[in-house]
Amino acid sequence: MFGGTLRVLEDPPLSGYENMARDEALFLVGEVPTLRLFSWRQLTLSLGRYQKSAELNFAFLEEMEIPIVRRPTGGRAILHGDEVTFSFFLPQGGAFHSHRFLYGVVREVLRKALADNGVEVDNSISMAPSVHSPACFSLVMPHELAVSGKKVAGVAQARSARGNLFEGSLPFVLDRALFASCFWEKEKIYQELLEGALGLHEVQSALTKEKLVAAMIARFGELFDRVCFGEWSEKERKKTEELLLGKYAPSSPYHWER
Amino acid sequence: MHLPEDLLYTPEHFWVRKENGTALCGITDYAQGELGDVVFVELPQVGAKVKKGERIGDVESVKTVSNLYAPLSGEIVAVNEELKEKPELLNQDPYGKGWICRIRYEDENEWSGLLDAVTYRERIA
Repeated sequence: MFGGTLRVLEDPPLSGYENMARDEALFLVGEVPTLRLFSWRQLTLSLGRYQKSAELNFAFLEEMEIPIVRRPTGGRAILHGDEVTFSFFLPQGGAFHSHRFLYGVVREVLRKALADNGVEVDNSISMAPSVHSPACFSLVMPHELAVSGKKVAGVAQARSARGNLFEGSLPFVLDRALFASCFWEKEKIYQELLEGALGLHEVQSALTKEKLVAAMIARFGELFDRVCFGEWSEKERKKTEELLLGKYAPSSPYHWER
Repeated sequence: MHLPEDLLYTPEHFWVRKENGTALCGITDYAQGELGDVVFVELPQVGAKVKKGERIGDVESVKTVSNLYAPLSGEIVAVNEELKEKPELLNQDPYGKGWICRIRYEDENEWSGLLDAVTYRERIA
């Protein structure tokens, strides 16, 4: 579909600050199509780029030593723990693709990767009445994936003239009580997560991260002529370091102010 | 899709109207349709000096953050504060109440690089 080479980056577990600094560096200076697979050194709450933080229970987050980090993409909060997390950067490269078209492409890739592992997702998502919730997994959007109407993967996007960045989370275990406790309205959010979201191990207990990651690499790779397991470029490393000293520094108010 | 003939356009889907030495700008009807329901607008700062093509803000819709780019170089002299409370105006009235900012442009020559309605329509066809 896109041609050329897909670079695959497999990162070790990192802090939320470093994970998001790396994603933003990809978005700002990345030059080649890239699938990045990564995980989290500790439980971390990520917020959407412009999400307000007033609904967070900061005292609980501090007590549980759960850091907060802001994503470059849109959407709502995710508690990252036992999951497969990815980012996918597609440089603009001449052809203009609408964000809905690209969401559809990513959705189809994830659908196939899950099907390869015995997880059949719903063919289509009917939009629920608009629900205000600060938690990403309280509501499934048409471009996301659900099993029996319950969300199993969240995906968000950032777009610029340079390219498109997707970030996605596929939780294996969804700790609904802990996730809900990150917010003041924890009872309401717990109920939303109970009714509206599933961890993948609740669907397919034999699923492993290694198998899902392998299927995702293969299925994303089908969009290109070839796949190579690559390294970060010098430009991307420098931008990551710069971001980690600035807005992605652990002490930066960027993460929680707004 | 509505494309007023009296406006000029950028390939980045901004419309521009010349008014007394300033340029009133916003996103096109096509752009708002492509974006879907806008839930947040990050506006530029009044007083900021911007270059044509430079990022001046963001819009968020359908979990997507999309950059906004200056259609002309100059100084931002006004922004539509109403969008902070009512971002949906971008969808409802992109050429009217959904305007984004006013730029005191600095280079008359840059206007010749903008597209007329016919050319813009061809680009997005």
